[in-house]
Amino acid sequence: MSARSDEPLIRVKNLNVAFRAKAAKVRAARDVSFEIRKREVVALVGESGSGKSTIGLSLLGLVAPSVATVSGSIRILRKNGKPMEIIGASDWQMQQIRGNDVAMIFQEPMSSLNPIYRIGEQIAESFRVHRRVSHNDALVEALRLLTLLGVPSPEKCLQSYPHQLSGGMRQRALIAMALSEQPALLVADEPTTALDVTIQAQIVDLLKSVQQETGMAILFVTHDLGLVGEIASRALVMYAGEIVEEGSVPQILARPRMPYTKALIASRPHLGEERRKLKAIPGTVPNLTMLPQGCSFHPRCGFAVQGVCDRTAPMLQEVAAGWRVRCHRWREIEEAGA
Amino acid sequence: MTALLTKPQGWAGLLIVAFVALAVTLAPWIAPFDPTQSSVFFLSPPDSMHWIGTDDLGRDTFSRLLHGGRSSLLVGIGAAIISTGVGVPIGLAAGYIGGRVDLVVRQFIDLFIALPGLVLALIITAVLSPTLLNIVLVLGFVSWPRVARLTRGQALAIRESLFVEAARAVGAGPSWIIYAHIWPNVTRIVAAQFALTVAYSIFTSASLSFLGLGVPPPTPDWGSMVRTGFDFLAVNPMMSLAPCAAVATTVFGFYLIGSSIE
Repeated sequence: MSARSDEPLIRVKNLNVAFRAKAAKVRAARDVSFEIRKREVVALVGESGSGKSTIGLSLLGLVAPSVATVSGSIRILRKNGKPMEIIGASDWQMQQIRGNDVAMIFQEPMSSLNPIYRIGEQIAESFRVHRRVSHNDALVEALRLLTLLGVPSPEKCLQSYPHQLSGGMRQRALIAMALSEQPALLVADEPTTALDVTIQAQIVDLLKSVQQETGMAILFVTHDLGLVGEIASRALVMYAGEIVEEGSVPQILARPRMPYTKALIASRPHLGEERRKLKAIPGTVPNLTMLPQGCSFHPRCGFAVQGVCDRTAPMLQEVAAGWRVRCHRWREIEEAGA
Repeated sequence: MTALLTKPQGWAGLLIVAFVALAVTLAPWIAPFDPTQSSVFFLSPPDSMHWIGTDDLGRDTFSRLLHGGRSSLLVGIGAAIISTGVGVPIGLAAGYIGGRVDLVVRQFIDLFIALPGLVLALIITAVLSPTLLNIVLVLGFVSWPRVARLTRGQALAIRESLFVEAARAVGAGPSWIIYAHIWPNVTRIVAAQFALTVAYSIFTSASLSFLGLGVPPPTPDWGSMVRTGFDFLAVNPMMSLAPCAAVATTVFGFYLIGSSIE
């Protein structure tokens, strides 16, 4: 293998996104750095308001410069083998990237489809914005995609309007749209949140099998740790716009180092356990315009120590190869056997 | 279009407009007299020969009514086409691009809407000469800001919708988004505003004519017919009331169409 093929598909370095609100800046992403390799499925985990969707949108250059200041670097290795910088790229350049190299699926399958078009036409749209194809050819392609995605009676689905389909079917249609140009990276922004649990499992399985077939990479944005174990091999845990823990999924799920990750895992409901109250993390996600001094998690953290955690912001520290954690006290907590 | 046919007021509006349009287009064939030909029967009341009487110069009011509607309809539809042609692109651009473009356009629209259309039209027509073309242009000019404002609002709302973001995420550019997503969602409101603009323009052009700034005589025109008949209201009321009713009916018809689309 040459050094070239080792290059990550996307490399995010010191990404900062600050939305301009009335009086203050909302720092939705702070110094975020990570990489996604080819064919890798990475989960981006965090509570609502932790900035995870912002990062997903930034990868497609969809954070409008009119509402937010974006700095740092996002380098993508295009399908033609050339690297490109996404931050600061022109609209026209981004239109070539979107759909072609990076595609996205959204949380709300209903409102992500234009109610006045049939499904077939909407899928055909994604072909037609990139290539000069006839309407009919695009519809044939759309049919092929829907069949590939295991949609029962795809012809009927093609002819349906969004309101005639179930949530799961709509999400399949959106996935078909996103896959139309065989992107190298799919950003899935909480694709299953609006669906009920059985459909959730189907969509996750579908994404998994499509990923294995096509070899595309996926950035799976979610707040559901249960899904992380299902689909991803590596996870980035976000809190208040920062990555607070990064590592392989089995490691993180088995032995989380960051108290926040521990708390997240502890707050999951367990099947078969005796009925107990769900363990919630006390407090709420800090207001992104007024972040606490020191570690941004310390006001809610059970391990926080005065004079340390509320003074300086911790850096990401290496636990093991490819495993990083942002906590002053992870070693002490480890030794205490917590 | 289907909304137009499912609602009773849509039907009624279409029927009225179709009736008026037909009568007015076929005027040369169905009018019993030459509308500009005077006769010795001054101010005659309705009888079997002159169905709604004659005017002060002995011209047949019914024939004049039929012919007079032509300029009204022409002005109404012409002005609506101009205001749509100008207002829609400006509204789409302002709504979609936003930012400074929107700010400038919005101030402009507000300025225009703050000025009463009739007064503005009156001044401009007085400065230019009141020919048919000028009246069409002036009324189009007076009514485009409303179209632009509606289109802008709609475009702004749709621009923020998730399906536009989804389209952007597959690489759609601004022209595609406007063409494929925003325009189809705007057409309905534009169609409604088109009909309302026709109604407004017919009404305003009649007002202009009434004030003496309409299509110059001897061409028959509803507004000027009301004006001349006004002096003879006590002697021969039909001379003024008939064109009044014609304006009211036509405006009402277009208004019904417009409101049933909305």
